[in-house]
Amino acid sequence: MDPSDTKPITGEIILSDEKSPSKGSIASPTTTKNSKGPVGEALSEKHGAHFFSAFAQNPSNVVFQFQEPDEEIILLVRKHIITNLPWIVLAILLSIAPVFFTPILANILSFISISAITQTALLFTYYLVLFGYILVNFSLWYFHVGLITTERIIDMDFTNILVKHVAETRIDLIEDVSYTQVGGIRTIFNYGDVIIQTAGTKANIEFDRAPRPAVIADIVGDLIQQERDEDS
Amino acid sequence: MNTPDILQSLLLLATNQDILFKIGLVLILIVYVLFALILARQIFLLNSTVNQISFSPIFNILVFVHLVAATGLLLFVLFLL
Repeated sequence: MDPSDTKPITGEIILSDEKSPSKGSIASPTTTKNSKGPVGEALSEKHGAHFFSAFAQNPSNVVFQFQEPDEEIILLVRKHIITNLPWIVLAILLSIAPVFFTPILANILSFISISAITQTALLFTYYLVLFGYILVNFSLWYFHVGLITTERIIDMDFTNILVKHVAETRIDLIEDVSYTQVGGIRTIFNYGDVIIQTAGTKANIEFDRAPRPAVIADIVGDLIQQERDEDS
Repeated sequence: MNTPDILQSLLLLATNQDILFKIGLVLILIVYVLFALILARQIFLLNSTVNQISFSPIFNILVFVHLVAATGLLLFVLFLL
């Protein structure tokens, strides 16, 4: 691969309190929640999110715990669907593996004699574990979710079956938003990391391997600008 | 049952590959059922945290089927084999 392929592509929404749009700023000072602009467009039409949706603007069929009555989800973000490819390929290979390997293993391990019913139970156990493997990997993707609402940003990280981490920040506490795209695969499939920096000692929020990072950064930038306009 | 009989039974058990496999399978399935239980509980909780109305109930059912299948297989190995 050409070294230039791995050069980071970075973008940043620079926020300014000035009335004129600053460099890189998407938001118009007059933008309101329901007017045009990334946020206005996102809220203007509702879309149903599928179970495989990695980027759902204004999803009509998603709610979350402790959602306030007047709070609307603008964007639901998961890792790009292509990031699931390794485990899907492995699961397919493992599902057909017994067809090819059982006769070979029967020859190699011919000194082992177990009854047919035990062999069947072993095979069922194998496919049950495979089903569990698929469920775990799908869950790790499905629940690793970022939500951008009209009031706040929520980042739910589910890195392990026993480990989940939820961070949220209000829009008015966000200082800066930027994104990074590194490498050929990320460029081809247009996904990257969106980093949302918050004020003070609060932890930053990161949408890891999110599709269309520039659009996400646009929307967050627009929200922040809108919040500042409302405050001033 | 006296001591030689017990030793004889243990020797028979140790040399019977089928029984050894069944014991191994039971132990694996006990651990697996616990894992399936934790997975089900975690997914039920997460589905209530972020509820994708059209898919969350299906996902809950899939996870429940997984738990039932694991328990069923354990019971099958324990009592029928």
